[in-house]
Amino acid sequence: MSTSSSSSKKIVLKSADNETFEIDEIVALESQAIKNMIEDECADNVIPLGNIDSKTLSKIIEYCKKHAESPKKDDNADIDEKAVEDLKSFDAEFAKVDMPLIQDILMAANFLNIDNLIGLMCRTIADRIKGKTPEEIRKILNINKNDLLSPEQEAKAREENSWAFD
Amino acid sequence: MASNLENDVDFISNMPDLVLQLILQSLPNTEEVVRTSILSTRWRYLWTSIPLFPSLNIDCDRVLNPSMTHQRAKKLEDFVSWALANETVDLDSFRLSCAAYFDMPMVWRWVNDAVTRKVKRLDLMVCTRDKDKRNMRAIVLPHCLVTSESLESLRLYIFTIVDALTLLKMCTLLQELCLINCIGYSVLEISHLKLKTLIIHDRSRQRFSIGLVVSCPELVFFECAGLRIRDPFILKKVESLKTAVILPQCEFDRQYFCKIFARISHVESLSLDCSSIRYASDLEGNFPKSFPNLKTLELTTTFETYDMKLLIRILTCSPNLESIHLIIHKVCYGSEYRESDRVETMRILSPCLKRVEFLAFETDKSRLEIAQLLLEHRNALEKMVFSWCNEVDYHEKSTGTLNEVSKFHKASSSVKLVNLLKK
Repeated sequence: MSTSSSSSKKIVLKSADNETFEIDEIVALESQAIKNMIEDECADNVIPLGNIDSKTLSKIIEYCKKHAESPKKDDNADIDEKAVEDLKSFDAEFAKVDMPLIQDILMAANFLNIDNLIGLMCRTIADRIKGKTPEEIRKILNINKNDLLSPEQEAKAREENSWAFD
Repeated sequence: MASNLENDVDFISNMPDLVLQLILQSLPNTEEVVRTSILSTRWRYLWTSIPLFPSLNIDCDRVLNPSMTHQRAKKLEDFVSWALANETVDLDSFRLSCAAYFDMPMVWRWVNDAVTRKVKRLDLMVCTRDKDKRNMRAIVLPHCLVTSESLESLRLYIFTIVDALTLLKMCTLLQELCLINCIGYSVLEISHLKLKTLIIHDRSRQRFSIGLVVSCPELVFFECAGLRIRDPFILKKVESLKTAVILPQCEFDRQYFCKIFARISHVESLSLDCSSIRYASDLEGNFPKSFPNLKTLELTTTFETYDMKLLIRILTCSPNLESIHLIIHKVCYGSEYRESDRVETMRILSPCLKRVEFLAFETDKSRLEIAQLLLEHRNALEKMVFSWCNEVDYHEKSTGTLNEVSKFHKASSSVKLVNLLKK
């Protein structure tokens, strides 16, 4: 372990496909799971993330970097306004990816316990399925055809809350 | 976790309930939540696990029109009653937009249930059924509502008089009151010890005129828009007020304008539509001597002569003004309004003015000229913001505009030019 101050302390993450990412500890702390590992001193030099591929991991690091750098609430009000707008547009841009990647990010964010990112991905998914028909939603979410309701079950579900269906 | 290369894997359904519930809660309204029940076996009863239903958003116009049948209405009624009946969890918000599909006793029964579940935010949009063919039958807020000990925000969108508003003073936690199209009053009186936000809008375009008496010592935000205001318009006990937005439908009587100004001269943020107060700027005597705290001024203006006079009046007595937001409707320089006047206006601006923001900016020559004038004459200016509300324009034109503006001569070398997209 290096003896440098905590502000410049580095953490190395290793993806499922064995790519390593060196990041500042402050960035890694955006993940509650990694934070716990560091606090419990069970984080080695390299933290292996065997279930997250490098494409997903680099997106997650991009997100954590931005959110770790962004000034916190109680700073100067004028900076605040710009920072909030800036973070908002970053999040909006960040979410402009295809559904498989959104789902991978969501799974990884859930595993790493990054609350803001879970929320962002859930809002993004809700945004993409809102106003859509059930058929369209099944396609968007890639819902397994083996799990579909039987015609009788679906008719019953529709009947129970007919007011909500066309 | 499997790789996503295999495109057949249903990732979402493998996520924990808590995550899926977050998705459900992000859907815009309750019927879309309920509709997920037919997606698959995994989703069949998922939505019922949020009867929690921390918030209910029922819009009958959307749900029942045009295929409104008695049966559907009954199902909806049963659903709302069921969802509200779960008394184990406190209700965060209840929004009901029900046109005339349900009668008021039913609406009030639900309101009663919501209040029992300690609802914090209540948003009601109802249209009373006019059985008597008499217009303007007042509806009376039920006792349970006006005595609620949990209600923090009440929004009423009701096309008639709401009676018993004064009783709301018993809702001790109420901080926000929003009245939209609650029309037909001769005088609307709002008096509350704890109220922080008061918004009164008239979007009915029915041109009812209304008197307004507000007495709320903790009031921080006051907005009235679209109303035809008439005598009396009295703001008393508004010493905590920080933001005032006064955009009435009609032209103000000059006497009222000055009286009201005198009452709100301590605000930090003021939003005015010049067209409603044109004649008032001629008045000398009663106009406040100073707006000592005014930091932000938002003006809807056409930059006509009267508007400039008023602007100058306010600017000369606002020593701490930091930011001006301009909503320029149509720039038309009247013949009386000469170049020298414009330069004079820019000189006279408060020495503190650091920030100018153009709201709903569009690129045209006259707006750019105003930007140029400000940049040429304001040496304390730190920031000029162009806010765009049209996303296409923002992407296509904002960079070009900034380039153009950055070529102007600037009195301050450190002024920052910023583009923002605000929808």
